[in-house]
Amino acid sequence: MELIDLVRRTDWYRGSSPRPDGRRLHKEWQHVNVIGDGIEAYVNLNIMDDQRPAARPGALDARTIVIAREPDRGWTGGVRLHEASRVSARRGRFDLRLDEDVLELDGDAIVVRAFLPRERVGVDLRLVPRTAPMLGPNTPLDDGLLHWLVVPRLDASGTITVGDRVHHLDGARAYHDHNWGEFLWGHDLSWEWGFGIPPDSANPWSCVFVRFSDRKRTKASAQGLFVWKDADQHRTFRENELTIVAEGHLKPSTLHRIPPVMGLLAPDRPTDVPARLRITGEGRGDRVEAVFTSQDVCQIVIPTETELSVTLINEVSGHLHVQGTIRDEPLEFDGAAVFEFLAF
Amino acid sequence: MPPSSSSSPSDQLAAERADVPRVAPAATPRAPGTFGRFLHDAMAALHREHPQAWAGVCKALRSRRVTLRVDAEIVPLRFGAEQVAFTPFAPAAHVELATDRPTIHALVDGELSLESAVRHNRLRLSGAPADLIRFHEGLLCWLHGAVRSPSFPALLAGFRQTEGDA
Repeated sequence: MELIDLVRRTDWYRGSSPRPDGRRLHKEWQHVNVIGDGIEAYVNLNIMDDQRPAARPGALDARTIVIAREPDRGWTGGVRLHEASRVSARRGRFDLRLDEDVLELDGDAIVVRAFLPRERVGVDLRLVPRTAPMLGPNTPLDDGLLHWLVVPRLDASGTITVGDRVHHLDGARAYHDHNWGEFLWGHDLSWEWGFGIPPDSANPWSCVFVRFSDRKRTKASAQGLFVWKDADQHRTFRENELTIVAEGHLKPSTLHRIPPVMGLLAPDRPTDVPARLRITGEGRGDRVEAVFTSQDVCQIVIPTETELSVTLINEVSGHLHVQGTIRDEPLEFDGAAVFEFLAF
Repeated sequence: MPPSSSSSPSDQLAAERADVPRVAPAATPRAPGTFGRFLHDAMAALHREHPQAWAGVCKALRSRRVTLRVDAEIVPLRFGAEQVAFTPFAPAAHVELATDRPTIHALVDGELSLESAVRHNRLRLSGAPADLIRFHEGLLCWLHGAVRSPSFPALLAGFRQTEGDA
């Protein structure tokens, strides 16, 4: 079976359903990261149950987030809200459309097109999977479950536009995941997440890391370091096989916030993005160490839904070095990577 | 209660019974395009769309007079337990804030922090420390409500479009 067929069979829109008590807490988002020469991009298409007090029951909150990072110019990005009437998503189908922003299947590829007119930043990309999807269902959260589907490595071709600059990509590294579940921003949950793909396309290894915890990050509910070789998931280090150490703190000289107005409610510089995150997976004779070094951060500021506060999603661009041995086979790679750290 | 303009007791009673924001022409505190009109409409929206945040604003500023000066426009406010009145005169206020439209837009667009605006004299605040602290608490409640109220993007866009019309 082709990899894109595996995506079609697993990566479909789930949609909201009411809980037994009638509440709707559904959140669902399709996410893409791209790392090219001199450009990185983050695209997120969200469809959620609208939790704002003025929302009518069953109303949807749909939005596109696009962020681009040009290392020599910094971050450009923003959030675009969509009227529910401009949202096209059917349960069981992959294709998703929010106004002109699209995520759809076309031949052997995922196509993602998104553009923010106000910020003049967007992507028009074909993403060809290099790995099979991994489904991670039923991660317990504070008051619900989160489900996760990951395609850790794709080849991206097309364009990323930032203002008048058009970056052309041909076989750039890309990552995709799809998340859905029931929770509110403000519940007792947090996560750290990141991925690594070698810049050398002949290097067969790729990896993804995630840790879910409470807001204080004193108790982890689930954690894993997932390693793929070529198209297949090759080794998973879970729970007690993992040692995770955060070292130091990133001290950015500037900070880009999205959307900008939220800077009024989160004026402080981040203090809890680690300078380095050292992840060691060890067990059954295998050992892999992944060291992420933070370099630059962009902050997505979200109004908390349980109280008048904010949730901060720190998107951190950095460098990942991975080294180890799995089933007596050495693996190593080194290159640009993106990690994400929630803060409050 | 949403914002009100100073008007006769019978007008006030009628408006309270109607339980709707008082934005009828006779009660409009400022002409369209002014900061005062934007503020009035935004307060009505906040009361309607995020009552918790509106209550926080009133609780923080209860029994205080606040005068906002935006460019040449002066907007005196008197806060009660659940409502705010746009007053016709500007008696001695507990808190005075003076700024201009470009500064407001720069704050909303993330080009300027509140701290920088104050330090660079683009936003001038005066009042006793205790009143300024209450004003800051009220402002934060206002902002938290604004970013959660569906009407605010359109209200803000309308305010930007009236640049120079006032």
